[in-house]
Amino acid sequence: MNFRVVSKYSLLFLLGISSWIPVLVINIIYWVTYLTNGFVVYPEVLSEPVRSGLYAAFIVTNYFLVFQLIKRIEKWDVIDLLWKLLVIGITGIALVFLFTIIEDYTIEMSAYPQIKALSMSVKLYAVLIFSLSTMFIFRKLILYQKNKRKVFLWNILQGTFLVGLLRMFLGMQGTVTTDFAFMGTPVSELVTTILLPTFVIASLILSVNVNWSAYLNFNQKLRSLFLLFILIILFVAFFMQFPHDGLAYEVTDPDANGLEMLLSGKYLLFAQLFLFPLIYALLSGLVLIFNLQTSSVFEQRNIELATIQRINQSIQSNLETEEILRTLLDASLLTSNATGGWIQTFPEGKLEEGRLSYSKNVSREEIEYLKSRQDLTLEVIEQGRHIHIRNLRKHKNFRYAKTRLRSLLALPILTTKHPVGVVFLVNELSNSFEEETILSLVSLTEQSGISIQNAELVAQSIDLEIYKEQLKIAKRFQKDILPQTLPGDEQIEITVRSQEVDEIGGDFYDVIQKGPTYKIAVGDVSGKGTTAAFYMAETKGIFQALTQLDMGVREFVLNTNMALSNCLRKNSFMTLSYVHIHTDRKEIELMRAGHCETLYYDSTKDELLALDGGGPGLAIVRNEGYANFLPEPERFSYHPGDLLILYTDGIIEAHNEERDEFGMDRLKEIVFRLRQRDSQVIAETLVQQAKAFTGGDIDDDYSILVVKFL
Amino acid sequence: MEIKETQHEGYVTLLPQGDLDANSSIIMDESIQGQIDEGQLNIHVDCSGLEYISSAGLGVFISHMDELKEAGGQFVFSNMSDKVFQVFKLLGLEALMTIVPDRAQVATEFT
Repeated sequence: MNFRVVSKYSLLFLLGISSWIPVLVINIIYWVTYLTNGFVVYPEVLSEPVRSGLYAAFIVTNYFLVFQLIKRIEKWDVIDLLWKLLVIGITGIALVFLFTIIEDYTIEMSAYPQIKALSMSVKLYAVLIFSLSTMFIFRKLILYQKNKRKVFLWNILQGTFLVGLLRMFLGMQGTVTTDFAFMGTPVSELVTTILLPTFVIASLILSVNVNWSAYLNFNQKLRSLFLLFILIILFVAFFMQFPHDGLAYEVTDPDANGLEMLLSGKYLLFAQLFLFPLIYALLSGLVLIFNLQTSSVFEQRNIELATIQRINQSIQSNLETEEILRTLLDASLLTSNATGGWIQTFPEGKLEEGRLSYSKNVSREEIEYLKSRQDLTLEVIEQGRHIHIRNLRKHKNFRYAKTRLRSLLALPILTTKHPVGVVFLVNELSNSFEEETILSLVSLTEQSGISIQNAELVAQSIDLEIYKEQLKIAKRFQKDILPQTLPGDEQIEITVRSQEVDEIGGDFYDVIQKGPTYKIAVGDVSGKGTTAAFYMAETKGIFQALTQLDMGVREFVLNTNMALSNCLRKNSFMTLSYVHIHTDRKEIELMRAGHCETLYYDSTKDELLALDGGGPGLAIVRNEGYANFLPEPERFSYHPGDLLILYTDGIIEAHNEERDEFGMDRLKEIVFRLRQRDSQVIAETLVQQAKAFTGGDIDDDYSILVVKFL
Repeated sequence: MEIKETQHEGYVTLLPQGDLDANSSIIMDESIQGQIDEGQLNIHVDCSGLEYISSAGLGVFISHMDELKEAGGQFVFSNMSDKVFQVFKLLGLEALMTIVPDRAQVATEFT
């Protein structure tokens, strides 16, 4: 709290107390003169208008003091507000009784008039503070969820209060001097006759506003009732002890009791201070009593809301469909007070494969028995809405059923894609599922359907992520299978360029160097994608194993054919070009097994040849008979400046939008044009030219391997 | 792709239209398997409507080649475009399968 606020309230307190001092003085003068002379004598300065003005100031000042203090309470809590009021009331009534006792003890003393005056003033102050507190705290209750109408009525109430203040002034004038008259009636009387009923009516209308009570549970309602009851008792106590003779600005009959005084109308203000809180306390108490039993309904709804929330949360933290279904069954049983229930599910959305997933308080035999009478599962799913049988005994299909169960409710659990299952709830009592409950259950199952769908989506996206991750690994793995850097020395320079479009593809190439011999393979497994890639990986193993052995080119192809015949599925095969380059004797041995023709540039003759000799692809003839189709390898000497170009069909079959293929001729033409350049330039240019031809990217796997002899 | 099947004395003619690639190879495979299941082991494939054949398409014929041969039947291909023939030739299939220029020679191959 900052300084300004503190000083503001201190000032108000100070003002409140100071406004009370004149009241005390007037009372002392009243009692001293009255008890000594038998009549009251006021000094000149304290004329009647001054006295009533001082009283009015006293009331107005404290009115604002209490208004400010109550306004400060930010926490809106009925029980807390009523407690605060009770504390003020009890303190007040305690003061009142304390002073009554003091009066009784001091009646014989000479200082009695002064003590009597003090007692009266304190009692008056206590009553005022309590009444004002009640009024403003009740204002907080009434204006809970306020609307224009309520504020308007409240303003009327407050308006009459102000007029009551004025009336007090006028009323006094009326008794001493002449009253202002209007159509023959004294204004003071007129004000009383119009204002008091207005005030009472406004109070009554406003008192019906007990909206806050709807938000209390049973327990809180009982506590509020108790507090209101005590408050009413306090009001009555204050009423009885009303310090009417404390209103000593006017000569009154000290023997008149509080009630008579109030009803006389001259004390309208005080009537208001008492009447309104009393009416409100009584009425809201009654409303609370009548609403006591409805609180259980609200509490039931609250439980349901909490359950739905719990389901939502269990979904957020748990992505298992099973878990959601189990929670759904529990929640449905709780909501409906059913005897038991079960959930029939359709794994993978197949309706014909209905499966009993969970059951509670119903035996499998009972479920099967009901099912044998009529299987509601499919019916519920087809209708897409719940089926409610109020009384199984009166239902055409369940009549004479030997079961303890009387009513049944079946609700579909649906996602937008497929039905998940059906919740069955049964009760031993007929007509046990109320419309309200069914509505809640429908929203519960709908919510579960959405949750299950979300769970499935999340699971799918996780699967997809895993799959993507696996593909990434596969691609990295393939990069390892297809070496990016190839061996070479001062006599030979090898460059490779390749691409796999489907993340992983079926192209294969490898080069190993064994002493002076380079063994090169370029191949292509039929088909594309993962299957082809697996076969490609197997080929790598076969290549690495067989090239370790001292084996000729033809023998290698024969062995590879047998190995692949055992691994590849019947509709798969592989094409391969296999080359041995003997750098020591400058000789090339080459075998083609169904693969694209290898290009050879002979620098001595300055000509480019397509070497087409060879046999069928691998794993086509899956027996020893393959040898019959396989000729001897091509064998020839090479010279520095010669080129050998191996490739897969991706490059020659690269096509443009008109489906024209890049083709052998273009390949040959480019190689011939670049025959003097190094292997990198040739390989890179071939790829660039093929891409330029397609007008974008090549949409197939391709590999180009260029060997330049130095 | 569409495959027209025509029964002849002693053999069946399959007339595929379009491209024979990874997707359409499934249709071709079903068609051939259907003939084998019915006991028809002499299968003539008229390639006049075949514009393109991929390695997966070739795989269909290769996968049934041995099976037919062992059961006493065979494939006979006819009316191949030059492009399709080059694919067969490159793969070395011309040595393994019977390929005739046109339909006139087909019947004699099955006798």
